[in-house]
Amino acid sequence: MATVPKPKALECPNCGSAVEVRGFGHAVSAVCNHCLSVIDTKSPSLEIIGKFNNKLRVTPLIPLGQRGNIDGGTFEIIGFQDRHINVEGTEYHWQEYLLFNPFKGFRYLIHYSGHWNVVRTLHAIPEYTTKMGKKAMKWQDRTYTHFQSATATTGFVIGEFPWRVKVGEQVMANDYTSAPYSLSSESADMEINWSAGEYITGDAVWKAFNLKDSPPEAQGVYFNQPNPHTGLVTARWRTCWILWGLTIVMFFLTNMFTKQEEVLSREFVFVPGPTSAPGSQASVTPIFELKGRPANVRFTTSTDLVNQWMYVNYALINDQSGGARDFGRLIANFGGDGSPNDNITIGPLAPGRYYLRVDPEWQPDPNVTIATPVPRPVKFRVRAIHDTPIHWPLPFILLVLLLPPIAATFRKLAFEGARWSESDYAGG
Amino acid sequence: MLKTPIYTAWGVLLIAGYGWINYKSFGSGTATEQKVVPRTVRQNPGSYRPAYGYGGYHGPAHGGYGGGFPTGK
Amino acid sequence: MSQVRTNCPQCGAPVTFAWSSSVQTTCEYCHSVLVRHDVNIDRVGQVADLPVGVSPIQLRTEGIYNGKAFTVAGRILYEWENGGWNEWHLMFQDGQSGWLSDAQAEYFITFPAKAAAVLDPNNLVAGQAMELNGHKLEVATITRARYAGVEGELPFEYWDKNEVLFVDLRSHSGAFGTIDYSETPPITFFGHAVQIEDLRLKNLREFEGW
Repeated sequence: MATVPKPKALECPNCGSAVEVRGFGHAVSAVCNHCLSVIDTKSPSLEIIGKFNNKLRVTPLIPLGQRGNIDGGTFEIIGFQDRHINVEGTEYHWQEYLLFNPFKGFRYLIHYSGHWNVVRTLHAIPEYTTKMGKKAMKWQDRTYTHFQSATATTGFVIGEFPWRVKVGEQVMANDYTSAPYSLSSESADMEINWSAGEYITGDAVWKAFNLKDSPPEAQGVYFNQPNPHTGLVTARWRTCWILWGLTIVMFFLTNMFTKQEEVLSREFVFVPGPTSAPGSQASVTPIFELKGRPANVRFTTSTDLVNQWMYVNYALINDQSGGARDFGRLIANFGGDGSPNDNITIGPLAPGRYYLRVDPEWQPDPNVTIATPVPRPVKFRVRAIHDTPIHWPLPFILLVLLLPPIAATFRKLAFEGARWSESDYAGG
Repeated sequence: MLKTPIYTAWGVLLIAGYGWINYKSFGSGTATEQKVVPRTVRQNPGSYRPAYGYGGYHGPAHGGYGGGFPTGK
Repeated sequence: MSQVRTNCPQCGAPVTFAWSSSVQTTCEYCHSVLVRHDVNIDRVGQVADLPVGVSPIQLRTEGIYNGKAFTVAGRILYEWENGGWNEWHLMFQDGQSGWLSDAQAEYFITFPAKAAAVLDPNNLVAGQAMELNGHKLEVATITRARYAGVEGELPFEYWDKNEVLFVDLRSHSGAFGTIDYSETPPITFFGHAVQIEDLRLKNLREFEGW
């Protein structure tokens, strides 16, 4: 069969300007670019069925007739609309570009505030459902959450369309989101039409249509804009659990590779007196040996103190070098406060022979005038454990490791908060 | 893990630090060090004065104690 | 009945019935509608020149659907209040006959089906449910149309229906149904929406500038 010829331009019955026809026989309405009369292209007399207000003229960012490589094919822009909704007195405008390919049919390029969507009409009817308590639609194994319900008004049209264009036409529009996809419905009278969209950046649109200038910058978050933080959140939590695992492994390794050898265990008795001279109850332990690599020693003092206190002066003396390390421990146990036991880790200590000087003491409170009763004698055991693991970093590391994934999660949630702040469900 | 190189490196550093602290076997408490304690003091446990500083020696230790004397040199 | 070659009783031009199940065809030259009664050919009418149209599909376009090859054998052009659409008659490799509905670049392929219960067209509500071929469908549109022309080979005799009432049914899964009330009993068709890319069509029309 012969090639379908490009339709000749129409002559506008109102102003006589040439009205170009790009959609071959699909056009039902065409708007004269000069006088904005809406022409019924199917009527033999080219009846005028409306007229748009030139004051509301919007210039398309991508000119009619421009062809671009989008949605797997080459499409030509044959029509353009400016539509808006009215929310609490403010008009929010968006633009729709009608794309046409004689073999692939129609698509729509929707632009709002620097955000773009490629949309096609749906054949099937989505199912009504809910997602986390919100209204939603299910289609092709994807659930789309309801985002907004509003009356959409068509304010300005240019080019041609495969339906009757009405000036100021109003439809009930509902948008559902499942980033980066969207589902939308438009209903008027008894008819409801569904369409499905996919988010696309301005840069991708400009590249597809080979446009030289820059696309408008995206403002805010669009209802089906993909969350750029999702990937990082998943990656960081995954890394977090792996690092947590490694930390636990290190915990076990440190336990395994420390000897934790008890080198000293001796019991002492301390009899407090009103005027106990310092050093009057001091004693020294036998020599004990620290073998192997330089390592720490944990000294534990276990007492039977009840409602009293004592202070123990310790000196760890190296029998060979004569060097000493002093440390004093205050041990107090009063009702719920304090503890009868104490421990301290000293180190690292060079291997060798050591002994411990143990010197307990107690004084009455000098600020109290009435005589304080002398506390009971105290039995206490001193132990020394050589080469112990150091675990205080463990909770600190586990906590610090949580910070990066939590920070990324907050950014992701903030993005979602921005997304939903534009919806019907924005709080407050 | 490769998708989060800085975080991974930071975490591995912390864990390595945890391991290193244990390898070096540090102590946690402060203990003042005195380099040399005179021989006479070693034989006289009661007369050794730690850094806290008391006044004087008040005689041999009395009261119960379970300790012994350092073994001879 | 196998492939029949004959001559148009009106103008004498060569006429072929390429498919054995075809009952009518049109003469390419004089547009007479010819009905086949075994060996005899009857001229039953004439169609006007069909408008150029916008469909990329034409007679003898070939494609593949569900793994089976088909050829476009004929067409009915319908007209209704808001425009027109094509119903292309498909002949599959295995002799099966199907229909490719072509309206505003939206395509559906359907086959004759048995309906469990046929809805009363005078008592229909949008969204009303009906079961067809094991699928749950809902009433989507009710259309009053008429034949605006025929072309090529079709599997029935009529070619000039003045009033055809169609009820379209859609589903959540893309399944599609149509009930044609112009016959008694009404004929039911069941099928699916198709993306034109998936049909791998060959021998399409060419469009100037494309």
